[in-house]
Amino acid sequence: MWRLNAVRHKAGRQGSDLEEFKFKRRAHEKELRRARKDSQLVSKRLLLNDDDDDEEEDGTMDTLASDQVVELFKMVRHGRDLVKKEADLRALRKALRSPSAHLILIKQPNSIAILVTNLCGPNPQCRLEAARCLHELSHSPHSEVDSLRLRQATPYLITFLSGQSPKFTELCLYTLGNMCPDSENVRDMLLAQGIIPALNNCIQIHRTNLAVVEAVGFTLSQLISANYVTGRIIPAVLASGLIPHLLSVLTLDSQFGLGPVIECAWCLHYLACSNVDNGALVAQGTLLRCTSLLVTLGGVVAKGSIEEGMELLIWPLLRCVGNLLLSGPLGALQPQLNDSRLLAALCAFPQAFLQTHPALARESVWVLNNLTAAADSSMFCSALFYLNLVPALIQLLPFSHGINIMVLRVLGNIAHQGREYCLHLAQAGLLPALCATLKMADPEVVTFSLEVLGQLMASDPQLAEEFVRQSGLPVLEAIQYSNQETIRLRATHLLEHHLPAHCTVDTSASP
Amino acid sequence: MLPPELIQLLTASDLVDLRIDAIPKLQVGFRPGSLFSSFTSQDGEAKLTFTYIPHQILLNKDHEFFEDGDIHRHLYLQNLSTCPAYDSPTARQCGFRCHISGCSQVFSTVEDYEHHYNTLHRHVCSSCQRSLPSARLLDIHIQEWHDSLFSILAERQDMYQCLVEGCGLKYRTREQRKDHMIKIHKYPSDFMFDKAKRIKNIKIAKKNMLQKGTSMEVSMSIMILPQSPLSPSSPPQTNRDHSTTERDTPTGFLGRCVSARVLSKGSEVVAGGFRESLKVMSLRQDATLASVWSGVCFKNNIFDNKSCLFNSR
Repeated sequence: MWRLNAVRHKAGRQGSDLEEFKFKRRAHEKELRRARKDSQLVSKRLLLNDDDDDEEEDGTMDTLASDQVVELFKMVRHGRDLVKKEADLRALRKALRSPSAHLILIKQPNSIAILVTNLCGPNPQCRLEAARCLHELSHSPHSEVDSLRLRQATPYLITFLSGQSPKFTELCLYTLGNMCPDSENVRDMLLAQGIIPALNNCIQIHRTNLAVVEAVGFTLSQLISANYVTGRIIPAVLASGLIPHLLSVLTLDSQFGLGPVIECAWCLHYLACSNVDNGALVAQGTLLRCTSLLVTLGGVVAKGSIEEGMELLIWPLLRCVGNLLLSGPLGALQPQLNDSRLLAALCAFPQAFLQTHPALARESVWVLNNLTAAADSSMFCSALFYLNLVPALIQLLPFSHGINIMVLRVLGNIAHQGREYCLHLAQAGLLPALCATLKMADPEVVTFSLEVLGQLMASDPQLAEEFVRQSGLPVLEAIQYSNQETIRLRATHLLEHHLPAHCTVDTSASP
Repeated sequence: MLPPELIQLLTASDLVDLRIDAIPKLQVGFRPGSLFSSFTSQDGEAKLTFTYIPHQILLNKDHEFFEDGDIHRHLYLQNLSTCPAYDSPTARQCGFRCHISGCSQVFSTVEDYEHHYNTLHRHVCSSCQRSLPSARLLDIHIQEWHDSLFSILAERQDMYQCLVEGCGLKYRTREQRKDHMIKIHKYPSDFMFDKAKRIKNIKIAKKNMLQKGTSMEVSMSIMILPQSPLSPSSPPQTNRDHSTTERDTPTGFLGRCVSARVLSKGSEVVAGGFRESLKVMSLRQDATLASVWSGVCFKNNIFDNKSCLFNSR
C-alpha cells in the first residue's frame, strides 16, 4: 500500500539533508525527461515490507558478502525443515535488498526455479518470502536480471492472482507489473498466459481490498502504457470486462486514500489515448464516470481542501475526457456531459493549479477546447456565458507555458459561433484583455489574438468601436510593422477593413 | 483565489438545475464574410489571411503536451514526488515585445513596453525615419528639413522657431535660435546645436549642401542628466548602409541616439538597434535644462532611405 504522505523514500534513505534530496530529485527529473524523449520512460515499484522499517531504525540491515548470499541460497535449496527454510528465505529476501546480491543469486544454478518451487510449496510463509524474493529481483537495476530470467515464475504468478490472500496477491501483482515494461516479448508472453482474465478475476475477488485494487491498476497500467504496445493488448482489455470494474473504483473515498483511484484513472487514460475503440469506452460509461469525478474534484478544489497528490488523479481524468470527446459527435456524447458543473471545474482547475502545476492548467483548458470546438458546441459555449465562466478564462491570458494559447483557442472557438457570442465575449471584458495580449512577446499569442479580434470586429461594428475606445488602435498600428508576416497581414487587414468610419489614420504622425 | 460564483457553483448542495441542456442556447451565427481576405504569398499562391478554424485536438500518450504530467506520475511511482518543497515549473507571465522590425526589445511589464514604444516609435518622420520625442518637434523637423518651401520663406522671414514649448519666438537663422535657447532657456552651451560631423562617406559629403557648423541635430534621445555618467558600453551599431558616425564630445549630453528603421511597405529592412541605456534616461523636471533635446540627423535633403546612426556622449 502506498502511503502518499510517507516521509521515508528510497532516495531519502541515503541523504538526510533536504537540499541533497531536492538536488537528487531535480537530477532524477531531468533523467526522466530525457527518458521520455527517448520513449524509454518506465518505472517500477517496490513494495516496502513492514519489517523493513523496523530494521532501518535498528540499523541491522547490512549488505551481506557474496559468499554469505550463496550460503543462504544453498540452505534454501537443500533445506528440509520448513521452519528453518522460512527463516532462510526471509534472510535471503533481506539480502536481496541490496542490488549486488541479485547478480550473485542469479548466477547460482536454478536459482529462479528454486524460488518458484517455494512459491508453490506447501508452506504459506515460505510462499510469501519466495514471492518477496522474486519481487526484489523484478525491481533490479541490473539489466542481467530481466524479465526473461524471471519468466519461469510468470505462469504461477498469474495463477495466484485469482487466489484469496490479499498480501500474497499484491506481491504477485507488483512483480508482474514490474516485468511488463521490459520488452514486447514479455508482454506477449504474459498475454498468452492469460494475464488479462486473471486481472479481471482479481479485481472482482479483492474489490474491497483497495491495496490489491491499486496493485491491479498499477499492473494494468504498466501493461498498456508500454511502448510498442501490440495491437492485441488493448482490444483484449476492452473486451475483458475490466472497464466497469475500473470505473467502479472512481470515487473519492477518503479512508483509503487516492492510490487505487489514481492507478485506475491512468489505465483509462492510456486506453483512451490509444484510440483503439473509444466508442466502446464511452458506451460503458467512461465519460460519465470520469466527468462526475472531475466535478467532485472541482468541488474539493473550490472548497480549498486540495489533498496532496490530487493532481495525480486530475491529470489522467482530464486526458481521458479530452480524448474521449473526439470519439463521436458532441451531440451524441451530450447525455454523459450534461452536468454543467464540469465546465466550472475545468475553469477552476487552472486557477487552483496555475502556480504549482501549470501543465495541468493547460490540459484543463485543452479539454475546454475540445468541448467548444466541435460542430455542435454551441450549448457548451452558451453555458460558459450563462455560468459566467468566461472572465475566469480571460484571467489566464497573461500566462505562458501554452496556457494563453489554449485559452485563445477556446475564445476563438466561442467567437466563431456567431455574433451573439462575440457580443457576450466583449461584455465579459475580452477587448481590453486582447489589447494586452497583442503586445506580448510570443508571436503565436499575437497571431491568435488577431484571429479572435478579427472575429469580433467582423461580427459587429460596435465591437470595432469598443476596441478603439479601449485604445486598441495604436496597438494595431504598432504591430502592423511586426517582423512576422502573419502578424502584419492580419493587423493590416483589420486596420484597413474593420475600423469604424470616423477613425482616420494620421499619416504624418504614424510610423 | 477562485471567483466566488465559481465556488458557489461547485459547492452548492441545494438542488439547482445544472443540466446543460436546460441552459438557453444563444443564437448561432455564420462566419462573417468580411473576414475572408486573401493575399498572394511569395510563391504566387493565394492564401487566406485569417486561418483559424475551431478544431478538437486528439493527443496520443507520447505527445510533448503531456510531458510534465507524465514526469510527475513517474516521480510518484518512484516515490520521489512527496517532498515538502516541491520545485516544479511555475507559470510565468508572458513578456512583451516591441514588434517594430529591427527593434525586438523585450519587456517584462506592459508599462515598460508602452514607454518604449511611445518614446521611440511614435512621431517618426516618414521621409528620413527619424524619431522625434513629440508631435510638435516632428512638425518642426518636417518643416525645417523636408519642406522646400521653408527654405525659401526662411530667406525672407523669421522661420526658425524656438524649440521650447510655449515660447513662440522665431528667428532668422539656426544660430540665432541656438543663442536664444542658450541665453533665455538656459540650455547648456555645449548643447548639440551644431554637431561637428565627421563624414565617412565621401559621396554623401559631396552631395551634402548643408554646412557642418550650422546644422541642428535632432536625435531620438529624450533626456539627459548632465551629472549622471552614461557612457556607451559599446560602439554604436552600424548597419550596412551606415554613412556617418560621429562622437560628440560635450559631457553635458548623456544619452544615446538610436536609429529606428521602421518597416514600411516594400522598403528594405535595415537593422538598427536600441540600447539598454534608454532605460536610464529620465525626464528632468527642470525645464530650463530642457526636457527635450533635439538634434537632427545630419542628412542632406536627398532622401536616400539610409538610416544614420550617431552616438553622443
